[in-house]
Amino acid sequence: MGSSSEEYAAFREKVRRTIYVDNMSPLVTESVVKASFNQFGNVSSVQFIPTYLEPKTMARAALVEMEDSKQARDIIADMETHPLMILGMPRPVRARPAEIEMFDDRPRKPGRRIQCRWLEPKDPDFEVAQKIKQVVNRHAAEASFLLEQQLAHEAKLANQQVETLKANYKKFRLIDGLNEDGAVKRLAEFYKMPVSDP
Amino acid sequence: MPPSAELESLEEPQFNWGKKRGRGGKLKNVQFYESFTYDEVDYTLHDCVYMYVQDEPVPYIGKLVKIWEDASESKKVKIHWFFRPSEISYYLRDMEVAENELFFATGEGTGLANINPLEAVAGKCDVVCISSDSRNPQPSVEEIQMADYVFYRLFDVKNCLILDKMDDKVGGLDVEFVFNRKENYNSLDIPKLGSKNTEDGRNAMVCREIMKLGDPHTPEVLKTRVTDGNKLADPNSVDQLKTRESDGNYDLMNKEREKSARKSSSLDNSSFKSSKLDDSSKSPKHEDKSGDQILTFPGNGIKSAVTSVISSDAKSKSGHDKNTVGPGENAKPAESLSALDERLSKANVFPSKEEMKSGDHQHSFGTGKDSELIYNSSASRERPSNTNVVLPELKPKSGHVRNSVGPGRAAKLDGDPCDLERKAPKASDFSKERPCVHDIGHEKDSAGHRKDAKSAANPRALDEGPSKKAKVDNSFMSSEDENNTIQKSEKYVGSDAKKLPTAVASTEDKTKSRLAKESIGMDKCHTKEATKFSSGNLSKSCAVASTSKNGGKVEGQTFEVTRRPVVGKSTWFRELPWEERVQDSHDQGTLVLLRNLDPEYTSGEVEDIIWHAFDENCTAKMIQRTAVSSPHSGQAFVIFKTKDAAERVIRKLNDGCLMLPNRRPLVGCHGVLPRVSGRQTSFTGHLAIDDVRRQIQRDMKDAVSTSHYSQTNTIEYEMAMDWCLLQSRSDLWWKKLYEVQREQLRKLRANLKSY
Repeated sequence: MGSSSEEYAAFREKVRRTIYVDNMSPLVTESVVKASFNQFGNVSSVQFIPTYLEPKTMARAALVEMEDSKQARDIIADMETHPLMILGMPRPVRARPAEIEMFDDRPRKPGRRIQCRWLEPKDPDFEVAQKIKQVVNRHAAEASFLLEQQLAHEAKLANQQVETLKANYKKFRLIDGLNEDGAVKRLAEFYKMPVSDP
Repeated sequence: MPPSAELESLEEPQFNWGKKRGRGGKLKNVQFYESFTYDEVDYTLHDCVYMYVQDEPVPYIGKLVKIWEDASESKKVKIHWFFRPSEISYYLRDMEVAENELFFATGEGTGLANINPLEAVAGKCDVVCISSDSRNPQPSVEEIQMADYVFYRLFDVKNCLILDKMDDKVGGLDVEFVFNRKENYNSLDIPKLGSKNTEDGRNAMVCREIMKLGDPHTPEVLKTRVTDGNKLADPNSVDQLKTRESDGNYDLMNKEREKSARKSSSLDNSSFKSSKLDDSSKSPKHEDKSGDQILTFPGNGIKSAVTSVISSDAKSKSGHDKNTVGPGENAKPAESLSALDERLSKANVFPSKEEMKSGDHQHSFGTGKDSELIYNSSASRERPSNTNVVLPELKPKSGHVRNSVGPGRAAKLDGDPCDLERKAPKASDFSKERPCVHDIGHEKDSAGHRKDAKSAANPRALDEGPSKKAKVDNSFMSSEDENNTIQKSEKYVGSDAKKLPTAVASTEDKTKSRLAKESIGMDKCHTKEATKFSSGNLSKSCAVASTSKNGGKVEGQTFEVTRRPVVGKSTWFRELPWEERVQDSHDQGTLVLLRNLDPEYTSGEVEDIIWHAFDENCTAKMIQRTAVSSPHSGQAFVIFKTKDAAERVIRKLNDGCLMLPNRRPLVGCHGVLPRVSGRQTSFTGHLAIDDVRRQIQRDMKDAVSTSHYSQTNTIEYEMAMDWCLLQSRSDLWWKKLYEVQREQLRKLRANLKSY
């Protein structure tokens, strides 16, 4: 079927034009993403990837389709070297080339045939297959555990940074305060040091 | 042992030469080899290997193109190089290059190939050729994923150009050695690669292979091939089937067959082909003896032999005593039928396999088409008989395949639902022609041209063909009375070898008609079709289409998933957004989470699979991949209509085992959504100190955009770097996790016998 393979080729081209962006705040909206990426090129569409299995507070991911694949590649390369902040900081968003499986509306791969088979319980493969099924479930559990761990690490880092920032902020407030209430000036006069006005 | 010796043994990895090739060199003092074992790894010519290079962080990769030992006993290998993209990045410019892509050297000059000491071989490297060239045996997605490296382009070392077309020779190397090895791909993963082109290509390849094997003295070769089937191709399947044949154990439902079925799904093709090949290669031999008529003769013999076995297969399937057929066949010693018997056993190999493949109607159609084509090109007359028998024959066996004949195929091939009907008249045309072949057979027989045992058997076989044909209608009628037919068949077996197939055919038709009968209730229009043509074959195949409805899931049978008919999709209401539907169905217990799907499947394909496997309409959605999704196991949410349906599906998936292509047993469980924990305004990693926040918000208001690249001299940048670090670290965790998982799966899958 020529049309479907053409369609598929067109879709592949679209995938190449698209950037996968994650680590985005759930507050980010389509227009925000559009605005951010329009700085570097022309965005043709933005599509959020829904996350059903993860908690809603998880970072969001989106597919940002650019005008052409070169733009997409350049942006990805840029974002690797410069952390990009969208709607908040200091956690940067991250970009990667999109993959076919990330698209919800991907067309069927032309020519693919699926053949299924019910195994009989007395089939020697039955046991193995059951084991594989267990392993698959275990792997899924492992993955969700790792995700939990990752979220925990992220939370930890965020907390640390909050602490750091608070401490810094406190310091700045202190300095500001000293400036404001003239303590700096007084001390400078006392120690006979030249101080330029902030 | 003196310490030095011990040291030596530690340092010197084990080495053994494998198969020798020839000698060469001026003084014939160079011995070439085809394989060797080094450090407990077997290397064969044209393997891809890592080459150790001093002072290089990464080993080079190349292909072994020559292996030899010269007079001074130094072992040498000639390596045809692959280039890493990094090595030729200058010439790549902004071409897109996959992460693990390599470039195969071509052209002339330095950099193409080198002679290296064999000891520099550092290990095997799995390089898969993903060229879409029709000559390249296409790898499966899995194989590509598993591969260390892939390549499809060439790098011309002389002109420093990237090429993506391969000529017959690449840098002096025959292109077939550049592509993937054929044998690796014959037995693997047909469903995946089902695109027609590749399949044809592969068939052609297999064909050629067999031709090579079978060229000289075809009959003899064929014989040996059948007897030592393991030599030819898949030892297991052929062997097993052979044993089965000799044991007279025709329990076709046994698992051995299943096991062999998969393996041989391509083999059967080849064996099928080989019989054709044999025809054609044999016929010239007879041609000079008895001219054109004979040309059709031996072929028909084989074909009808095939027929008879196929029909006996069918019989055993319908649960009747097949053993009577076996002896019956063997009880014709006068004709010194050993050759034929062997052929029969071989033929048996193929129908049973074909049958196991069952779902693969496209396949059977494919072969059917093949033969038609050949027929049209007037190569031989016996082909139609084959078409007629083999083609529909296979279909009833695949009775559990939904739509295997009608809509499914139509959708697959050219969307023509009347395809079947068109085929039907053609088939009957052929059968009309058969008697004439029959006559030829007699003429020939009397003329006594036939000398070898095989050809002696042929007239008999030939007779079978027409007689069977002639009785097709009869048998269809007689099939009303099943018992009667069996008796008849047994009688025939005992008395007259000639009529044996007829009887068998009728039993087979009986099966058919039973199906047809079943289908009457199910689907009237199909039955109508069936009766319209009144040929057993036809009704059978039509029946299949309709019986597929009740024959839903026969264990141990393969079925092809085609597009399901669009039913019950109400267009009256606009559907709720998916998110709400998922939430609703989660609350109602109709949500099922599937795992271990091929991540490539689309939501529609998942729906089709469910429809075919469980007879349930559902709405499915593949969970889109993210950076942390497993590359091994695709997941999908499926919403069923009722809770019962969801429960049933989960139970069936747990207790039973639905095998998807690529050795993936499907896993299903209740879909559990994470609890929605209120609306959270903060996002981990975005700082939320009140004052700072206000500050940021003010900034945001002022800023043209809400996003910016971080400047390097800010605290923000520093913190961002922490995040980047964490992101990369978690990337590594995931990568590692999935690597380990992949390895575990690979090991487990290797235990599956039938693949």
